[in-house]
Amino acid sequence: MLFNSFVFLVFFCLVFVIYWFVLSNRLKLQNFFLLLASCVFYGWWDYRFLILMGLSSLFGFASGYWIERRTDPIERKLILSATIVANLLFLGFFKYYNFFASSFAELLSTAGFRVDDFTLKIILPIGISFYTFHNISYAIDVYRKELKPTGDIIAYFAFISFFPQLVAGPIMKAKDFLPQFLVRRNFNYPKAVQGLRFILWGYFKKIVIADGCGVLADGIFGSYSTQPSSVLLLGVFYFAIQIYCDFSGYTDIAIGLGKLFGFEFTLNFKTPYFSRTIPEFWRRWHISLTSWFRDYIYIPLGGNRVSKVSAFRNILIVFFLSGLWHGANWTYVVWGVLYALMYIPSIFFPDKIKLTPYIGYNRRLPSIKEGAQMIMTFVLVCIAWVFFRSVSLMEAIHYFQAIATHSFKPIDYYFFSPFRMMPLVLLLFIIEWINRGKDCQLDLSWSKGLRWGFYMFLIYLVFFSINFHKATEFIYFQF
Amino acid sequence: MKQLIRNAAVFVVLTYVISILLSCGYTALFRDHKSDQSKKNWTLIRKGDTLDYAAMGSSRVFHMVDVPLLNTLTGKKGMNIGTSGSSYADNYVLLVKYLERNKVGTLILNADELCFHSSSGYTYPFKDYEYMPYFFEDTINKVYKDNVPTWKYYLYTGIPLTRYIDFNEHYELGSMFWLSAKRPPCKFDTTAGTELLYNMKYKKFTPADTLFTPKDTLNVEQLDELYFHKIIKLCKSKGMKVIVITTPLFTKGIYTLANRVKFQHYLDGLIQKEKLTYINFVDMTSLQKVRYFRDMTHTNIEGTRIYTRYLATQLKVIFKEE
Repeated sequence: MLFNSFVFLVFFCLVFVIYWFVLSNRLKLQNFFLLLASCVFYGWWDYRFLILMGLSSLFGFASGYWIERRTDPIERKLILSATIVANLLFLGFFKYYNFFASSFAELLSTAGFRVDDFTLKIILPIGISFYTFHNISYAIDVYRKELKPTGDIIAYFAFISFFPQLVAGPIMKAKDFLPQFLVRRNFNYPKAVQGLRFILWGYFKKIVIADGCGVLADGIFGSYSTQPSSVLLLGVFYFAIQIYCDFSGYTDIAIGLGKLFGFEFTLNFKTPYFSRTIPEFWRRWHISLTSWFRDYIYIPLGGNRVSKVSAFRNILIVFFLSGLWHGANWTYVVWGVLYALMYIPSIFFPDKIKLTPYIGYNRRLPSIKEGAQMIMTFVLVCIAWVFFRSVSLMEAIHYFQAIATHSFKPIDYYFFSPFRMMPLVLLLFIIEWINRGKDCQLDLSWSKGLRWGFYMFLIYLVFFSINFHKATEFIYFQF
Repeated sequence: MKQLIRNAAVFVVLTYVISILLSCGYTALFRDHKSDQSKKNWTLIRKGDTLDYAAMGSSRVFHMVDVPLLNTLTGKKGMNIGTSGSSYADNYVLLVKYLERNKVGTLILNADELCFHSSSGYTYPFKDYEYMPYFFEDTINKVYKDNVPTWKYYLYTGIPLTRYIDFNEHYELGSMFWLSAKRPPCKFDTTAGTELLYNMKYKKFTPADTLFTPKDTLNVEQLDELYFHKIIKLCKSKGMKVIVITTPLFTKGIYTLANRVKFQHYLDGLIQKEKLTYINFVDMTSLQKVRYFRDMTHTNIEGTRIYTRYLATQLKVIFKEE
């Protein structure tokens, strides 16, 4: 079920009404109902994969119990390692088997060996990367004694499968999220209003901006060999906007839905395109994944409290894994490694870079230096996006070649009116700039009339952009 | 919770009021400002035509009645107002709107089994999205009631803006402005509404490409019959003559003999009941050759020209009798 479909609208209204009006103050029933609703939400896509998620959750639940029961540190470590390996094997089989099998076959054939194709027809279950990471997070938190394992299996299953964040995050750490299923949740008006704002802004970003830019980016990337370089540059720009609005739009909706049910999620995006350096970009982009890797991989490897070369190695490992997490394709790996390389200045010259909490802090506009830093960071991010968007490494290289060699003739706007999204993209950036220090971009300190008028304007923009006959999927569903 | 419900209710009411105003705005804007690049819009925005005849039906009229050639051969002034994949309900709405601003002496209406079984003959038989600005006009509204799902009909009636939202890809403000900036001249102005079909480049038609499994049963849908009669009634009320034709089909692949006989019997009954003139070209033997067809249901440019000549010969006789 997609957030941007009519079915979801009906589904959500039903779940909300039953949750608050029928099951209010009955925690166990509320949890059970959320689990049921999540199963319907997930099963709508393919109910057979519910079994897979159920088994994975059951294993996660049991592993917490086993770790807690053992006192011997070696035994605890062994169980944790087994849990992590089992989860990664499970994820690896569905997500990476074909990738490694075909890469291995290619390697052998380049060495002169003839190999038969041994890839399998495996369907990638939606959300597998997300719920596997939730299970791993639970085992690690219990192992570190940062979280007491729960004996409430319904609460645990509800935590793993909670529908707003099930298929594309944010990736919640068990220690932050599971306890929320174990305490009574009361309806909170300001929180609900905040949730609605998140949802509206999320829909605006996904349906109006991401889907609109996506059509243009797809058209340009699909015909890059015949486009002038001016259009190719515009294609990269539109893809950068599309991926940001698609993903952050999804998580904004998820956060908003969570708030309406009385939950708090980690923020996943904080106006990342206003970052002044690459490290700052990663503190603002996909925050939940970044902090997951930081807490469970980077810091255990030694973080930055090691030699500079080792710190770079740690960064390289994290970004290599981050790239691989995104998808079984070398383009994602190169995308990750590129970011590791872009981190080099901040590792070797950390004292040179001193930043205020956010750009234009205590000012309306950024300084010239900040503006230049922001543009430079955005350009670097866009370069990496070309690898992320391309089907293969060769396609990415050809795209760059085309930018460098094709003529820079003016854009023929009658052909496909590539500028038609510009006013809306500008609106997005203006609102994000105004609220760049806040969690929710629609937390506008305007008069009530003006705010409501603006909300209505956004609602109508969404209505006139949505396709009720064929809802477009979110890009991050494939990860 | 009470506060949320109260504020949400006020917000919803305000949004609804604004939606009514927006709906009126959209109706006013899209009623007359359409891109004439699509055949239906081109027909809808025409005014002041005084025609001896108009040819109406689905793609088998749009692509197979070469009106410029027919005009030359008969010495009459005509127009092709056929549109692809359209049922009689769709034809009826288009004719109602066309006759509001234009005069026609004779309607040449296509009739074959596909027209009377539109739900399987066409992928989207009644193109509801095309006529949204006219939704609240009595005659058109009744057609919607008959042809769209009941819940949608009441949704469109209760929240009028939803009819534009439902098909926002057809009612996009931005695209209208972009299109109006620079538009190529409309091709239908020079072809009197006809679009001739060339053979498919990638593949020539072969009878093995059967689109329809031959059936032995006769399928006639009530709604199609109802709107066939409504079209005839409308024409009669305007003092127009109606000539029913059946355009050629590559019949070997479509009907079994038993089925064709049944349908022909049924159609003859309708023609007699309405006292109409009927010309049947469905299995013109001289045209039943692969080289004259683009696919099972459409002649190519060569076939169309031959067929139009036959049609002209028959029409000349009929027009002379008048």
